[in-house]
Amino acid sequence: MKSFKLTARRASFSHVLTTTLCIAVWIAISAPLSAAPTASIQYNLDPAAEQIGPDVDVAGLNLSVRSKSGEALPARLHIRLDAPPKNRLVSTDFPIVEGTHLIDAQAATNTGEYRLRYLFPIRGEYTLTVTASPLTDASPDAWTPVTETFQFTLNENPGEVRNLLLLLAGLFVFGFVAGIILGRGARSANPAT
Amino acid sequence: MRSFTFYTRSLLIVSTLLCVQPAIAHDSEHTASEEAGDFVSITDHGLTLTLKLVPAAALSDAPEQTGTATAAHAAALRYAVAHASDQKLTARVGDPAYLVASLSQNGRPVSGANFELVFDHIEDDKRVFETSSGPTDGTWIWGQQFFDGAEHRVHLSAQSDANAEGTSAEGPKIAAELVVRVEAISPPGSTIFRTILLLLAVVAGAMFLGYVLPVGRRNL
Repeated sequence: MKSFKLTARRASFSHVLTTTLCIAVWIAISAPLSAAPTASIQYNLDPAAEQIGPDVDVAGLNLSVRSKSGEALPARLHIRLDAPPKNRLVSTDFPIVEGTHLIDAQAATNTGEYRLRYLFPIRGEYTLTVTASPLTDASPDAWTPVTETFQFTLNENPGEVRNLLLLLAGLFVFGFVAGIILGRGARSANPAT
Repeated sequence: MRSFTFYTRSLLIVSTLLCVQPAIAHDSEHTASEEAGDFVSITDHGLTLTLKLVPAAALSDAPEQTGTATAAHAAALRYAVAHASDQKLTARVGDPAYLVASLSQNGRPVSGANFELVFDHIEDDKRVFETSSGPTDGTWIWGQQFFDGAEHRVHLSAQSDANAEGTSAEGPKIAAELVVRVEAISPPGSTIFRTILLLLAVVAGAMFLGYVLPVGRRNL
């Protein structure tokens, strides 16, 4: 009985030792990978999204690739801009464009800053996906490639909203007057009602 | 009899509205000019700058590529560029068109070349896009959808980098222009139908109110 307990205790000790060793090996292997410098991507619109009129204002889209310490990183970029998805009820000025890829391109920057100026076509929520990777893979201070996704929403151009309201008001007045004329005609033809 | 008169008159009004819609659509169609093309090549100071348009459809012919998504995409693009025919091609609304710029000297790509790309909407006389790329291996591919079915002037300029290997100073700036004809696509039938339905619903609703409400009834 005593030897059985001893064997069980040894087995338990051996199990703990094996687990500890496995964890130590895993940490040793993963440590160099996690030590590789990582980068982050920031973006901003110029002017701000709320002030951009689709199909009217050419806006600046600025991308910045920086290390965690804030240092600018020369980078190769893969930029993908997706148009807002389709709206089931009301379409935009360019229904074909809804839900499609607007930009799918690669570029490079020496300074860590990248800028483009673009005329956004329609209102809605855009999705911007940017992948940044080191400019030269063989560089000793190469960092881990990073992919980030951003979303921003553009409101409808105020001029378009005004035109739509004018059209709807015009149609309403047209329909209302037509209804009055029809009603009067019907009542005069049949005064009993 | 009263309802028959009502429906007949309503039908006349609806028909008038439906006739107006195709007339508007027809006016927005675009006619391409003869100078539109898909390829331009300029040689200056011993450098050759080439700008070529490759539609997204050409990518589907490329064999499956291995590696990361970005690398595979780049490889597919290069395959499409290499195998693109020299026939006139047009960009199309709804699909990205790939503009392939390359700077070469004596047939060899200029490493470290910088590119600047600008799109102008010819009809509106408006700059709609501009960007640039840092050091490239001599070739730069930019994929973008032209969302308006009208001609665009694509202006490309290139310059070898001062810091590029084997060069001590910035090379000469060389520029090329290409007029891209963009094929307009009509909105889907379902979208047109839905829009007309919404507008007709407003007219019908207002018409119903005018018919039912006692407006001007005292004058009868």
